[in-house]
Amino acid sequence: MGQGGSVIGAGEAVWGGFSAFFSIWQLCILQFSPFFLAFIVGTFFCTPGQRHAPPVIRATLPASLAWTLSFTLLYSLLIASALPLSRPLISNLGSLRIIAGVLILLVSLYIFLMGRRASLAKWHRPSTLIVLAMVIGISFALMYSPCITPMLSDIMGLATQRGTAREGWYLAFLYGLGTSIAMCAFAWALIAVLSRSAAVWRKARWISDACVLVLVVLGLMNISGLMTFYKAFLLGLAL
Amino acid sequence: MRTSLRPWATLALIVGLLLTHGCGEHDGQTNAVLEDAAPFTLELFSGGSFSLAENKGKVIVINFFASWCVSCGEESPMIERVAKDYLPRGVAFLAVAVDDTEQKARDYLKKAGLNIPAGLDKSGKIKDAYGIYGMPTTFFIDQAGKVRYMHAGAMGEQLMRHEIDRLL
Repeated sequence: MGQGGSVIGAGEAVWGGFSAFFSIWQLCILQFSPFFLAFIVGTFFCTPGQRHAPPVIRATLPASLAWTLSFTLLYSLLIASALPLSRPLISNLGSLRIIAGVLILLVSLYIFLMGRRASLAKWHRPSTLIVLAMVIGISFALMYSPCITPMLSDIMGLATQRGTAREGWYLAFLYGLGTSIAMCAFAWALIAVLSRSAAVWRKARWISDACVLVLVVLGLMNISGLMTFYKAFLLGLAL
Repeated sequence: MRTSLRPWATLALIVGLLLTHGCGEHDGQTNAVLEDAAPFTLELFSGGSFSLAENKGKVIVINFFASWCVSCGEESPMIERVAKDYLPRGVAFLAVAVDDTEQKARDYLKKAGLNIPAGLDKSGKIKDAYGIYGMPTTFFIDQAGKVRYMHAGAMGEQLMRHEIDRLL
């Protein structure tokens, strides 16, 4: 019932996803890339009482890994529509996107309060960030509508057929992993540059609040269906 | 303070399992079971509507697209060429815009020169019923209303003609 698959190696799939991030396909990845940056930057700068930059990688690695795993896992399941587990997810994607919007709003609320309530500082631990990052990763996979690159087309050729769905899911996971690694590397570089500046640290609250605002807008767009307008107008502008 | 290694060990295990999963293994199932195409009615930009039920008995080609989708523009002119050849042979073509606005979809169709019947899946229900996650995606439905082939990504002209010929 589907297109014939081609032989794609594991490394090739990771590279395909990684390189897509730095190519014309970034236009489609813009559906979530600015919002991921808002999450990572927002949580980095919202730490109460923090005056100096903690090591970027150490501070953001747990959340980045959690986001990468959760996003990539759900993304690959949604790609592999022939898997029994994927069917109910795909056929309820419209409703799940609304739930994703609510979850994004809750994460935004956490970042907002964390920057204001010193009494909440005890909750601001790597384990909390890991949970929040997983929630954001799942939400982003649900709201994403990927443009199908030639390599992803080949992968979906496998993932949408019953006989090769597992192989296709595995390759889709690796492809998503490549995109996520590129996303995280970009976020780390951005934070590393920002956190070197003392002026930026003086505006840490402001930066964190701006990130919260971006995430709140995203959550509301998902709940109201206005995400369609973001895709049609903002992404369309770039084409 | 001693850092717990358990989360990292779990993570390493998950990654290890994924990386050692056999890439060349097939689960042995066949693709013989065909699915009934989900019924729907779509309001067309040109007026009127397209009902899958009313087109039963025809070969139907449904192309899901979005105006902002990078790869959709590659195949639209080709679909128009193929449609011109196959419409006289009783093949029905339909373009369904998803995750899009009506104006943007109309502008896109005009720019791409795609004149086949088209409409916007406003509620997203058609997209969900057909299990669309990425764009473009094209479905080939036979005269009995069964999905015979699905292609995710931009299609080549030769492949599209081949799939239609197979069903005629």
